[in-house]
Amino acid sequence: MNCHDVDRVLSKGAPLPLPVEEHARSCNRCQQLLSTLNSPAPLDMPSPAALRKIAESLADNLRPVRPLAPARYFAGAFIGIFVSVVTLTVYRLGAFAIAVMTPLQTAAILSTLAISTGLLVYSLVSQMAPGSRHRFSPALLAAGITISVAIVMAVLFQVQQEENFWGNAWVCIRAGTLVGTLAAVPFWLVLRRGAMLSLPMTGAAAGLLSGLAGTSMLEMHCPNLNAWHILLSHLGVAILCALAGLAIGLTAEMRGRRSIHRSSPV
Amino acid sequence: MAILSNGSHRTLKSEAGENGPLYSIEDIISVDWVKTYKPSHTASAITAGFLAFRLKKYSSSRRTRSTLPVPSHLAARVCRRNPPQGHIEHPGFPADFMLNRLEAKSPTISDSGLSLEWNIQGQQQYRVMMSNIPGRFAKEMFPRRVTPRGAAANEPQMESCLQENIVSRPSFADLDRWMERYQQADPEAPSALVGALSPALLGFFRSQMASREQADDLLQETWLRIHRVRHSYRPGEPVLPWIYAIARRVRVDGYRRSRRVTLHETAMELLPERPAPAEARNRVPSFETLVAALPDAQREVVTMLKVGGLTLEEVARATSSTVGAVKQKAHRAYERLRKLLPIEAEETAKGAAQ
Repeated sequence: MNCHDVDRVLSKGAPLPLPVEEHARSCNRCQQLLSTLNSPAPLDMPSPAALRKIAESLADNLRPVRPLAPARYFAGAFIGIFVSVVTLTVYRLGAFAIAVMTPLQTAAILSTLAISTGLLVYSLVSQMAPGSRHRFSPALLAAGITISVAIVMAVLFQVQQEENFWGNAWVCIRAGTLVGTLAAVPFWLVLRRGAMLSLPMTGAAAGLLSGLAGTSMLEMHCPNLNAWHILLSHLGVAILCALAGLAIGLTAEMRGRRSIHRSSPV
Repeated sequence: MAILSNGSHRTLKSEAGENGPLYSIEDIISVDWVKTYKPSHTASAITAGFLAFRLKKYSSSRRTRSTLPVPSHLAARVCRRNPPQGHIEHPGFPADFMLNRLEAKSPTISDSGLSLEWNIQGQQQYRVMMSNIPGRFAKEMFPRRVTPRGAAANEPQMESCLQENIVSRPSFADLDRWMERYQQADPEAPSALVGALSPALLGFFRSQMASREQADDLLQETWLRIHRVRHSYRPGEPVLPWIYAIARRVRVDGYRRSRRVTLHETAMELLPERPAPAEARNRVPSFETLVAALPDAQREVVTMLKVGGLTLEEVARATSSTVGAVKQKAHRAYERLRKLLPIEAEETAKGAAQ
């Protein structure tokens, strides 16, 4: 048992085992560290008058509220919206890409998109209720999904010569963004039932999810298998929508902060 | 009274006979305020205030003897008397302590819970009371006096303080219930929640480098926001991470706001000299002084763990991160604190010499 082990045990949050206590007896630094950590910070007690005022103010505006529905309902709603939007648009526009891609490409890209969607939905549902369990950091998850999808696309598809690259890209970006926007509206209607603490983060995640709806539609619809086209105009839709969501979230947070700042204290 | 080993967990059995009540430590649910007293041998010196904590889930993997698995929601009420030199132990200490010594002492079991009492080194006296009925043991186990037997019963202020706090402040186990009542618009719920959580929240804000005035403002704003989003609490979920997640967000917003203000401020005069820190006399730097040197993220984690008394899982929930990330931050924080310690010690030694 050495000082490093003591740090490790401390960071686990478990009660200190005997070897740690024994080590602390012989190690001045550990003894001092444990002593400092074990001496709790003196708590300032809030004034009873202030507490009473806060409590009275809360009690004045008290109305019964319905607790947030279980997470699985929201997850179901998100997935339902996603699938509905993608299915309807692909049904309307045609699934030409499925006919062109190999089964491996089809299975790999659609599985990647499905997994990414599932993870994003989980993250969004967690963000709706403060203090929820997060198995992945929301920021890292959004970045990780974007990078993973990009890698899968780059591996599955080959770079090809393409005439009118920018023209084709623009068509796909426009169509994908439209589908993303269509999906974003019901997503927002679901999201607003929760209490998001970090609006930019939630906005970016919701934007990415909406964008993935557009990307999924394009992956099933667009028969262009050029890797650059797919990366730029299909994945680009997801990135664009995520950035738009981030911007909307930032704006909403700044407005909210201003309104809180203007509102009188309790 | 005997402690019986029964497979994966042990049970406490009354020796009163076969008809005596049988309790499993797993069944004992009580999450309560922990009071740590710093009396200077007088009744009027109850100054330490409240320390709210939850016992950390005890991992029995490292111990084979004197181990009782404790559920994560189990906590204890501790009355402590005559601590040497005003030194207060870590809030989590009673958990470890209880686990270590539960076999050594005979618990008193009644229908509403059990109590343990013992002495350490002939100086300190602890009494841990647990109940499977939240908030009931104060009334049923100790109907007239709640202070340790034969100890502070003649200290009316301590007794009244205990009784007052037991009555007016709900336990952490009760918080779930109070939150549900708050959602149902029970008019008593706001005062109960505000009374129970505000000291810990204020401590959280204060340890995050906020002044007292700022901390008071942040506390008010936190309650406003809690009120506004109270529907987002799901009954059955832990309350503390929900509360701390909101408090953390309020703190971040408050910090950004105050930073914008301070950027436009100009110092007009020198600040008055700060009084010598208390730790100069004690040689051991205080928790606040030491933690102030940590980066924000690490300080936040250590503060929630040590001041808020949250578990790793709860801190992870409150900070929207993973348990692994919280562990890593805590580990780095402890490493950094260890490196800071000698410097602090030297400074404090110099301060003491001056």
